[in-house]
Amino acid sequence: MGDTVIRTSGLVMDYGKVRALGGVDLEVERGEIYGFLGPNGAGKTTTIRLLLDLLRPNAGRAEVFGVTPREGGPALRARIGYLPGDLTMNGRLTARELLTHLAKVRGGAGADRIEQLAERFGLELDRRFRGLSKGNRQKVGVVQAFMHEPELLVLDEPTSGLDPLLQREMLDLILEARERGATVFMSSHVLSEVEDVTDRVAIIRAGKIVDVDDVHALRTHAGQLVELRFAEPVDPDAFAGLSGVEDVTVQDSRLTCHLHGEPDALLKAAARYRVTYWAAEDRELEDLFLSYYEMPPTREGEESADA
Amino acid sequence: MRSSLAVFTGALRENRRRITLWFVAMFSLCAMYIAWYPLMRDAGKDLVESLPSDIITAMNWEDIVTVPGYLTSTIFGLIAPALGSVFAIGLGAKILAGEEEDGTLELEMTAPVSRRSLLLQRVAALWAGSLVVAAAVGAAAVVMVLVLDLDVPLGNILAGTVGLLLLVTGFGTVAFATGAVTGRRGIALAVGAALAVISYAFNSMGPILEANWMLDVSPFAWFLEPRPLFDGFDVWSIAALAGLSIVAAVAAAIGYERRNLMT
Repeated sequence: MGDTVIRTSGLVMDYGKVRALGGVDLEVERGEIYGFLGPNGAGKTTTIRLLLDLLRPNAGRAEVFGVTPREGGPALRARIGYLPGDLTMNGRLTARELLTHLAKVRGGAGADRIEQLAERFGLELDRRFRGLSKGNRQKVGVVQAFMHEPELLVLDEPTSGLDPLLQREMLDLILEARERGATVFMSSHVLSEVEDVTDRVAIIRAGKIVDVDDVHALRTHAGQLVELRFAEPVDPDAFAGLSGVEDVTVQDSRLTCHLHGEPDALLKAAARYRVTYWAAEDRELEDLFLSYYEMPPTREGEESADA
Repeated sequence: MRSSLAVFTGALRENRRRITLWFVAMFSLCAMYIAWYPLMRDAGKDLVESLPSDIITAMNWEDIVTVPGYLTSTIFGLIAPALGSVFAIGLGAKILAGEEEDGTLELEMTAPVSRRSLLLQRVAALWAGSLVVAAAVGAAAVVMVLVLDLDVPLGNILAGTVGLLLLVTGFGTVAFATGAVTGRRGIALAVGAALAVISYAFNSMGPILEANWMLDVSPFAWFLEPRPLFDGFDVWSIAALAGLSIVAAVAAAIGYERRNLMT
């Protein structure tokens, strides 16, 4: 019991007549990096705001460190570092003024780490917030979320808006936080941005959790995309019903399929012909992720997912 | 939790430019109006004799030729409450609901500060800002009265300034409270402005329509009826005006405690 940092059961949230969350159950254990994945509008930010007592649920219960966000109040929030998904701050103040102010509001916690974190992320502290690019604004958010070394980090889309180098730096920071014992709960709508560091992921769609799994299981589930080319056209029936092989498509001498588990049966079937080309790549988790959104994992699908 | 005034000082810093500009504008405008008094004194006598008495009453011009009368009808009964209300209602709507709508309050609301403390510190910042702007009026009046050697007790100017402060603070706090309960700056502005305008209208129309109830419910009348520039402090006037801010602030705290923020 004591090792569950976030626990929600049957969490329901309505905005007027619109149901944003339809009974969300989550359990995040101490010390893990938990990915909270779903498309925009699925309820990720609403769930996060419930954890921070910005919103109060219509039904169900949320607990953070064993207390509801409302009961926990300021003492609970002192243990949390929060990065909003869409950070806005007073544009006239400089990054340094904003960060120093937030440290003061937290009773001084983290003031001494502002310089160090800003340097690491290449954030110019004396520029006004208004003049900062989206990426630099995100850095201000990152510094304030991490500077007081909280026990729990709640990060809403932490990697969005950062270039790949800074994304890497961000993920390193998250891994370091776990090393000192912190728990991380982070949302994303792009799995590939977070899959390298997350231990477990929950996938939320239309206000409901549709899957909770560890990332390695997801990867095994995703399997490999295999392409084989032969010297002559092959008989599709020769590859039907092989164990671990799915979605076989044969076009004359070219075969593609999805492979889960051992490749033995597929290889033995292929060995009856002369194989001229062989490629197997790990299926992007993204494809699997998209299938949860009920979007075809095709080029068109990816484009519409980005839109 | 460690209690700190960081939210209060931060809110003042965010609005330092606005408050400073208002101080300068208010001081200059009031000083300019008072500088015209010697001219008005001579021209005013003829004017007052030529106008219908209803208009004189409506515009608070009965005693326009006396110093307290001139200060009341031009500054304390007109431009200072009008502009001061614009300032206080604008800041009251912005300092909580406006910041919430813009998203700039998000990190303070998720910081280890209770909702009540955050709200009280922000309403205190509104009051402090209003104090600065009201003080500009009082300071301009005192300076010009001394420079022009006008005949009005400085204590009465202080009474008028305190009344003015409490009046505009009352309107501002009603706007603040509306914002705290609804989370909408627009609604806060509308309610604050409506209260100020109705309050002013009731004070002007009440004597003409012989409707005392209008004066009874008008904070504007609570402020001006005891004639602070002529007669100095009036305890009931001060208490009623201060009560408006306090009741509004308590309502704000209760509404804010229960609400979903930033939906």
